[in-house]
Amino acid sequence: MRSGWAEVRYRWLLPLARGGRARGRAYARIVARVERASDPERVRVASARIARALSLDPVRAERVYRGCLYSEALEEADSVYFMHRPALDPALFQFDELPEALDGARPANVGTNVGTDVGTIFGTLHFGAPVLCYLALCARLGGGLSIVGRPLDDANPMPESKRTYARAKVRWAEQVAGRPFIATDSAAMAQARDELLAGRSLFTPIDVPGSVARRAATVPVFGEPVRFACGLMTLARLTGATVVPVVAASSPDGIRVRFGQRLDPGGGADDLLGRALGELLRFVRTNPDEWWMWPYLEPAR
Amino acid sequence: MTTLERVKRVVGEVMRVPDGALEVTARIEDLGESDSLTLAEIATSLDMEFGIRVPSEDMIDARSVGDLAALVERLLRTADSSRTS
Repeated sequence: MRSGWAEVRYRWLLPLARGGRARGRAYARIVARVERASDPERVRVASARIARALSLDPVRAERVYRGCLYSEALEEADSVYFMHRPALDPALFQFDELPEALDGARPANVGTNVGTDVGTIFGTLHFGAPVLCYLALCARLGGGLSIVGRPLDDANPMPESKRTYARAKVRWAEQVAGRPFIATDSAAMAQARDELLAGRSLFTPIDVPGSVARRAATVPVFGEPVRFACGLMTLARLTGATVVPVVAASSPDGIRVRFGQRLDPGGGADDLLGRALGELLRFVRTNPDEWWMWPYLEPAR
Repeated sequence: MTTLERVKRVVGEVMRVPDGALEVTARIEDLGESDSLTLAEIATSLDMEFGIRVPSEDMIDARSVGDLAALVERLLRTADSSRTS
């Protein structure tokens, strides 16, 4: 049932979102409904966690999780819509609560000039519209920003129809940003270090489950200890790069980008990851229906 | 202390291997528990030890402790010649 549904979802339904954002919202509603019906165990796990984290009753917690499924599908629809437009309109992005150092043409330590200034690591969540968040930041900063993410190879399990869509999305994002994705292997991490030391910046999700990485740290998520990968925080510590938490979410008017406080990389990677997630969980508390990771959090043993 | 001895000490500290146990031909990926950040950590430690910048491309090509020592010596010579010219 799951692979048949993935085929219908990615091969037949998702392309309809090219025709307009209203169609994209319709796609997201259908997908959220089918996903909820087809995987009750995932819904149960996520809803129970949301109920504990936010002190909600089970009915409201499940409603929040329905919103998460909608958010994830809407991100796909928005991506497909914008992939088929000639260019991203800068007016589409609304930036809000900019940290002081970013509220200018280009902050001293974020840019494309090779020099002694170290770049910034923009840490995000699987929340709202992460790839559009990256492209919004690229437009805002005027270049010099690369995204770091898991390659779409066999080690990253997903149905083939979803992989085809995801690869097209990566090609589009690379073309818009003018920079290739940076993978997570040894050579790529060494390259990422060079990027930061040359004053260029990185954008990366920091809520990646600990089991997919060698280095992981335990961080409290609404009072429960959870394991997350912490390699990029180690890179911040190695290079002296500051970390800026950032999320973006879709609205009918566009994409709204919100920042947390810029974080000093002092202390250990565990501590930095905890502080960055602490900033980002403020956005989750405000909009819990935008965070896709509720069912996938790995409790620390 | 020679460049090779200093490189061995740096690699040993990052990989948590006694530097006395490191052979010149020891391959970095065979030492201790390396992961995707190990090269970046060694490069950072070499930067600090020798006051140079070890580029990632060169790090990736250096397969052994001896290769790393040769790389550092080359970078030190380049830094010296640019200071004197």
